[in-house]
Amino acid sequence: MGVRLRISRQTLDLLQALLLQPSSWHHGYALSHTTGLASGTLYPILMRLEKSGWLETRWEDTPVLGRPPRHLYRLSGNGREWAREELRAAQQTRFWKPAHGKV
Amino acid sequence: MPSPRPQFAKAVALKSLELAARLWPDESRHWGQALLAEAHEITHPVEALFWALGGATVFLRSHLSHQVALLKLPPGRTTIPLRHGHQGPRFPHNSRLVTALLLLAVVLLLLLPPGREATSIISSSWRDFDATPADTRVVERLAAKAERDHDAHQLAFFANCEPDPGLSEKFAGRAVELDPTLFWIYAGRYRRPADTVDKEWLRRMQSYDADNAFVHILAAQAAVDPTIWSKFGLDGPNPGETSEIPGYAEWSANMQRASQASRYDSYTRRHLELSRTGWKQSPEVPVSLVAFSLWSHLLPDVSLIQKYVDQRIRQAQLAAGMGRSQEAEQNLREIATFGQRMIDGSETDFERLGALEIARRSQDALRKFYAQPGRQVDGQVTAVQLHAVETAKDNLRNEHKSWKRSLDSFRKRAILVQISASSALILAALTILSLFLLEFHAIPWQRFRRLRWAACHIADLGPAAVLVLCGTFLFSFRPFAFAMEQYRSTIASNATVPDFIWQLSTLGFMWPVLCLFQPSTQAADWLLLIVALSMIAVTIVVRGIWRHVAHLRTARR
Repeated sequence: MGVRLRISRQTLDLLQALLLQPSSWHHGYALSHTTGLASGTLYPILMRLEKSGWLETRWEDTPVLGRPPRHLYRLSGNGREWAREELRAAQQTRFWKPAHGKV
Repeated sequence: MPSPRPQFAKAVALKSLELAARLWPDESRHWGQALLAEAHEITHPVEALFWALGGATVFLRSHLSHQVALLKLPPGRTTIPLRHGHQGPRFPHNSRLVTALLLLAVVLLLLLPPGREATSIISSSWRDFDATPADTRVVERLAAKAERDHDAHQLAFFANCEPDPGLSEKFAGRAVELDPTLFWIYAGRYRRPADTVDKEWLRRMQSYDADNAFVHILAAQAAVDPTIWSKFGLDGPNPGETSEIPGYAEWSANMQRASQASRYDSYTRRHLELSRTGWKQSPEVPVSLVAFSLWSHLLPDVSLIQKYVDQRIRQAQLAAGMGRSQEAEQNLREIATFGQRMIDGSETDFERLGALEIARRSQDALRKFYAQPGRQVDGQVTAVQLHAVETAKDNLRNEHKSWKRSLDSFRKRAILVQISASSALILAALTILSLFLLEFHAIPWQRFRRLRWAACHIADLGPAAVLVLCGTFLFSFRPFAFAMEQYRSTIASNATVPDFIWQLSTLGFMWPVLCLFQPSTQAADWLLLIVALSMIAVTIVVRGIWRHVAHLRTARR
């Protein structure tokens, strides 16, 4: 992918959260809860991941009546491989420590 | 049941995110909608507020990156990919950033002090150096400050600069009240079309400076309607006709006082010095008003003085013919002395030239008078004096020729200044119009392909051309800026100050046009060269457009 991504601790937290159930679709609010990231931090990372091609996005098929459809996220096939490598490398260099045990 | 306050907090969060989603840049609006959708799921109002706050920062970041992306694209292009590819609308080659930087450089160039001064003067020259209401407000503000500070000299300076006669009179009156030695500033206000000669001011000047011939000459000029003299030809009225002239007796009495006064001072130097120091202290006074002040200073009507001198010569000749030699000689000597005093006291070439002519006429009359037997020695002395006067007059004329040559170089510069400034203005207007049309998609590209092509070219080349023209304008303006700086910063001499006014006058807007009617001047050659180059440039552009159109037609077939 052409876009170079800056890997911060917050990005690694998000990657870890997305890898907990890699094939499932995640909501933004749920990711915020899991990672403890505020919306102002979480969404720019999601935007960058999508732009890099590591993240797949889609809109909810059956929204709750009276509410707008929610946006869903999950790592792409390549994205998962890449995320695991990044998390491993970050753990080895002790740049980052997993919040939910070993990845 | 939830309390109204939390409901209100969540409503604020949702509304603010709805607004953000509406205003979000097109290419990333779905992220705004995603944030909004998630906010609906948050039950805790404070949490929803924090969510919205985070959403606002994402919104700002998205807008910032959108603006940066827009800057990298040419004017008129959006971040949405083009649908038509190469067959779609044409856009300029330069990015918005390059265009903006070039235009910013132009603005900076013109906002720096030399640029501000040059643009102020050139725009003033386009109004024929007439003051604008904004110019007048500057003077009035500064005059109010001078009034508070009891600064008589600055008040006198503003009285001379102020175009409104009522206010000028008020400032002048206050200045003289604070410092009576400034009475002479009344002489600086006579030429203004709206003003009539104020008898009270004349009376004051005559009482303050009774031994100055100049104030009596002014009083004589004010005594008779100036248009009446044209009825009597060059030599003026005959003795029998003087009774037909209203105020003639007062005119004659004042001219008599002038011819007997011990000195001549037209206050020109004082006026120039006051303007110089005043302008130095208040450089924000527009140059148009300073020039207006200096131009307003009254110089005596030399033709009227000559009429008086001729009349006295005729009286002397009449007295000599009747055998009253002593009276004739006394008359002639008095006017010869008057001429000499004017020569000694003249502060401008114009006055000096008039004074030399008066002295020449009176010395010539004296020489003829001394041609009688027994007065050969006096005749020889007078002949020497007459020769000296004629030589001085010739020298002054020669000096004037060299001065005129130096002024011609300013005229050439003035043409370049005017052409570069007006071209820059026209091109800047065209560039802004083109950018406006492109940015607001005001040219349907399928219907107005040629117009769009022209707008794209102007948007590409215009900013750089305006920058070059502004640079040329400021560079060619340097001699004028230097002349003004010299006037403000050095001690004014007789020679440099009138030069400053004349140099400034060459910037008169109509001068290049008038030059066309004087094809023998060197400046006309410059003008012709510039016109020829402009015509070549226009030909190249028209040829380019024609070729482009032909190319488009071929492509359609």
